[in-house]
Amino acid sequence: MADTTGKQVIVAKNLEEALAALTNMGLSAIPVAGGTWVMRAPVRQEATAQSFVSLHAIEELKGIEATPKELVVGAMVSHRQLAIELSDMADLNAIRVAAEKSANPSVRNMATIGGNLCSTDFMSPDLVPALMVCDATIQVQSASAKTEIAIEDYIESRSVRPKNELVTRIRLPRGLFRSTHQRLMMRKAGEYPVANLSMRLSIDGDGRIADPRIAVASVENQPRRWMSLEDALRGEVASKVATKELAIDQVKEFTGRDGPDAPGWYRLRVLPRLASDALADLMGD
Amino acid sequence: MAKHVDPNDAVMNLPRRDARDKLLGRTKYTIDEGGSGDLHAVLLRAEVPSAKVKKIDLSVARVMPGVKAIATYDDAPGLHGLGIADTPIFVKDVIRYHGEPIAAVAATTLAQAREAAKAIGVVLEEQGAVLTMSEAFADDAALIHPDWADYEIIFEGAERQGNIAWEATVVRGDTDEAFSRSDVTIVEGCYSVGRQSHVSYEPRVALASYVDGRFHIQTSTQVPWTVRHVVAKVLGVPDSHVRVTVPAVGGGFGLKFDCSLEPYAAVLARMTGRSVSIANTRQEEQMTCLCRENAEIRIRSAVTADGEIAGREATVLMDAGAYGGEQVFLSTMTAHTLGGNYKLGSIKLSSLVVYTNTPPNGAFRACNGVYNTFALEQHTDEICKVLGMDPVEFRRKTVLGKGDIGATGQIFEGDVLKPMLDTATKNYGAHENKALPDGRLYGRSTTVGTWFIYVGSSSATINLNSDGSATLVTSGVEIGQGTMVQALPQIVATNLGIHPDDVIVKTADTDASGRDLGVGGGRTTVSVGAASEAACAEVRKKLVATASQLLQTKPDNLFLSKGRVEIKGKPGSGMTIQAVAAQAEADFGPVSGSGSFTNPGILAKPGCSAGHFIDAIDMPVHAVHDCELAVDPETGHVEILSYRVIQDVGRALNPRAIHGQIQGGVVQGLGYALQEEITINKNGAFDQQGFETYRIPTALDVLPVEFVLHEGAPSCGPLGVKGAGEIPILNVGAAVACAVANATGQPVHQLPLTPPRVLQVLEGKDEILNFPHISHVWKDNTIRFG
Amino acid sequence: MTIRLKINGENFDYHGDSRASLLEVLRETFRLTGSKSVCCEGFCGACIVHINGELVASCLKPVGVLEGMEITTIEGVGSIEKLNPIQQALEDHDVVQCGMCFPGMVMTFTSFFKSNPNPTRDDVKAAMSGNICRCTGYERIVDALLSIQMKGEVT
Repeated sequence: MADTTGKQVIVAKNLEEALAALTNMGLSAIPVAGGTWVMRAPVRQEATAQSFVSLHAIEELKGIEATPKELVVGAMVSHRQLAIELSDMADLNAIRVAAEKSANPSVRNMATIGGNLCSTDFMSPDLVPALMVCDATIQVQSASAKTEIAIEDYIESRSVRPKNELVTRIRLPRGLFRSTHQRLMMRKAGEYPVANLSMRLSIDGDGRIADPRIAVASVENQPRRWMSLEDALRGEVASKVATKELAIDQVKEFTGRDGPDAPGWYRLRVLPRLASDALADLMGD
Repeated sequence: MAKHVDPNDAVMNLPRRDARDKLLGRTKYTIDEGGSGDLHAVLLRAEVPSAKVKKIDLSVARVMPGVKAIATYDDAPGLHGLGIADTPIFVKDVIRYHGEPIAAVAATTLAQAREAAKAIGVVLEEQGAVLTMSEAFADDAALIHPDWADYEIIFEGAERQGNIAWEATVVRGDTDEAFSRSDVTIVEGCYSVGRQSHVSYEPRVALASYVDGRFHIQTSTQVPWTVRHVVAKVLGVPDSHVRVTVPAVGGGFGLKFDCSLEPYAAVLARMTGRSVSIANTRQEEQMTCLCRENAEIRIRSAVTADGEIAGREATVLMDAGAYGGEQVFLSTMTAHTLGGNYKLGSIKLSSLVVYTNTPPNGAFRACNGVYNTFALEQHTDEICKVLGMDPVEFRRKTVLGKGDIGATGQIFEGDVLKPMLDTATKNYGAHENKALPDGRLYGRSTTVGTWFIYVGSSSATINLNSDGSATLVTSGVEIGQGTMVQALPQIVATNLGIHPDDVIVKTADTDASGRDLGVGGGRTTVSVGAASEAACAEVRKKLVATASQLLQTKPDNLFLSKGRVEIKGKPGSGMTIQAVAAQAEADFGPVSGSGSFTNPGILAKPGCSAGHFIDAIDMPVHAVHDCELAVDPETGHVEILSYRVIQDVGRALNPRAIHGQIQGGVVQGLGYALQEEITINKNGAFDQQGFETYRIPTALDVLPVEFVLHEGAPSCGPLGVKGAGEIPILNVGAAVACAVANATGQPVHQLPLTPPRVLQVLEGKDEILNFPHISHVWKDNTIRFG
Repeated sequence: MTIRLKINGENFDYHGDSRASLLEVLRETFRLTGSKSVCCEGFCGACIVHINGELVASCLKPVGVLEGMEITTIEGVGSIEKLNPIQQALEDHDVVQCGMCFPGMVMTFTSFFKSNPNPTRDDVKAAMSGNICRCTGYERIVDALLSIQMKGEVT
């Protein structure tokens, strides 16, 4: 039994231990995955009075199970591992791009898919919109309950979910789709995106768009789907130019947030470009 | 310049001797030093921009675990500054900026010091804060320094009044006449720039101990003698009671051209009797950075149809922040930059250093030269547009050359800018419109720039060792620019006829060497180099005198080469330096020499300038930058397609090292031009607190800079060199702005050109600045003439 | 609570708060000051070490999770007598300036060249996105790295 007294790091050997520690210690402990969010608390000027329940040694959270029907990814899989594992999957390509382009090499080694999902206050995640368009479902578990929910429901509820609950696995259904992820920064590297966009769809024999899904992050406080553009694109002939124009019409669905990285109007201004670049990518341009 | 020395012998790509340890992580910077016995100190900093302090209660903090001493104003009273002594090191009873130090706590551990600082009770009454220069100018503006008139004046001659800390003016000729001529067109523009932060990797840090009644400060600084003086002043001891030593410095760029944390460490060392270390966190570094100042410029010129500038008037507002600091001194440089580069029939300039309730600004690589060059070159391109003249041709015709008169009436020696422009045209071709295949907009610019080498006091001593090596003792500091490990050993080696590897360079110690103005302003190679050369001359004289006896040859027939004293025309017939030195020591004692250097003193025209620290520049240094770029009209991103530099170096002692400075300086300039932005919120604090929000260039944001080293311009520096480390950044803001203006067809009036701003420029929505607080009537913007 | 750390093949026992970052522990407790503390947020790369062979920003890793792992810092890479190929190339091309970013650069590229023996310029720059340098403007570092001809194992 791990020593849970005092403020320190508790290394949970398995999921049960982690959940028990979080339940017993309540608000005096927080789960730690890759550490890249938690360890920056001082820079955000937040107190770190809590103990860390580290998940890094929990084997069952680290694997990726692949079947023809679906991919099930453990919450502790890093961005780097994810990018490698997904390298030949056109339908999950959005996730691969997000995992590969996010942040920088050392942070990609450390930051996990579970951590990305759980960082409620992080407004510019790359993985989350990619998971949204890929129809991810999130398995969560606490000491008393275990359930699986759609990613949108998870994102909407995450700030009020029980503190002694952990994301354990992410299920990704496979299908005959193509997906991609576009991100826009001010520089060419090394920063959070000012706006990003994931897109998944299929193009039928007539060149028409079927089943479009589009998700956007960093433009508002929380990532979400771009429903109005999905509706506008459904059934349309796939065209980069037309997509840009439709996106310009539908950008009004968003309210751009002002931040030290960029003003809100700018995030909205670049969204149509991200959408058309994404479509061009999926058309194989 | 020494007769017996062939400067060509000094030219080599000498590799730096400190690289190996740096690559192994073995180098101990000040931030790495310190032992287990040291106390750790932190500062309690103000969290509001403007307030009266009613009470500071240390009673709880004093008795907390590990706390050994807490210092406040009364422990180190006294004001310091440049030009005017307006700066305390602690808040006395008025807080003037967010981040201003209120107290310093020394404790056994850093965590204990931080906890104790939080427990210091401060009762304050917030006041309205003056956060912008236009607010500072308002008739009913609160005075940030109500006692401004009582401050000790260190340098006479400037007007000061209220929130104007310093006024420097230049009047040469009659601009009223020029502007009223019937054959001129008047072009006017306003420009605005924000601050730039150095982001040197080693933060400001100091270690102080109190030994045998003296302070020993080890610090990451560019100016050991300034530190010595300011620490002594605020601690109320003679300067000779302070010793400053400086190991390798992890970057400076001008941030460390001032005294910084040293006085706090010193006062706590005295109070506790223990050694004390203090360092800024990255957040403190960013939020109290002595930035390149934000500035506002109004400039107008009266120009004839064939491009003669009959008159030019300009007003520059320089934000000092809460205290005058470097900006007081830098007000001098407007004349030589905004008022420079071109032949002017008449000129009026005013530089006003303005107090605001914001963190004080300071010096950053080419200082106000960078934004003055941006404004001047954009203004010049706008003039060309109005006149229908080619921008390169206009510059060729109008740049200053040999015998031409500068803004303050100095006569320039040598044609430098025109030949450099010719080189640019020859190498890079004429400007052409290009269509880029991806729909981006192509732009190109050719800009000129003039800066100065900050010559001034330097000292050097050389001790010739019995093994034929020489020890060079100066107060020079190696901040990464390479001068201490390359140019200086090269200069000394050439002068003594030995190999640079046999020149030992002692790290700065104010107990060992004489006074020195410091490292920065491109001055180390020139000033410390000149002092070193003078010291070498003494050593050489002694060696040659002894050798003359031993070899029975007249001194004039002897020269030093390859570790030997040789007879001219009879190679191999001389003796080793060791043998000569041994005899000299036996006869007179160990061989050494010392040397000094200061400003040669070029003349300005009397009466032109007021409030100037430097009326005429002893060593101008020039540059021509040529830039091509592409603008994405949808996202506003700017990609540099090519960047070329022609730099006036006098003589390139170590071309490879200069390459490093050019590549690094241009990239810092690209950050300034395109990405690095500091915004100040309602609380007078920077929004950008670290690497996430303050964007400096990454490897993917840059490209190889092509360059030509222009040699041969007149220079009073040793072996004909000019400092090369500062000027690479000077023109970059101008180059990028002018090329973006060229690409978009719209004028650029503000930097940085972040993607959102570029979109606004493109759409003609970038505010056309017309500062209501800077009058169109020049003299109304001055105290002296208004 | 004692954490036993294996650093450069040697055992170090740490008795402090195990939530402290590895960077802080390396520098303050064990005086291994080669890894530099610059941004404290994982952006600059000056603190990069290898943990079980992977690049890790040591400012973001709590020391309490590192028991049983192999930690390599810059002090464990190359020696005064023999630099590793990355250090040697950087020295040969005389690219160092203030030096503070170079331990991180060396750690990143020592790892990078193990799996990318013949990279393109773009590959090198992409790998450098997490190593920011304020002095050099990068290109000469890239030139030096591209000159490395990998013949065998990088150690």
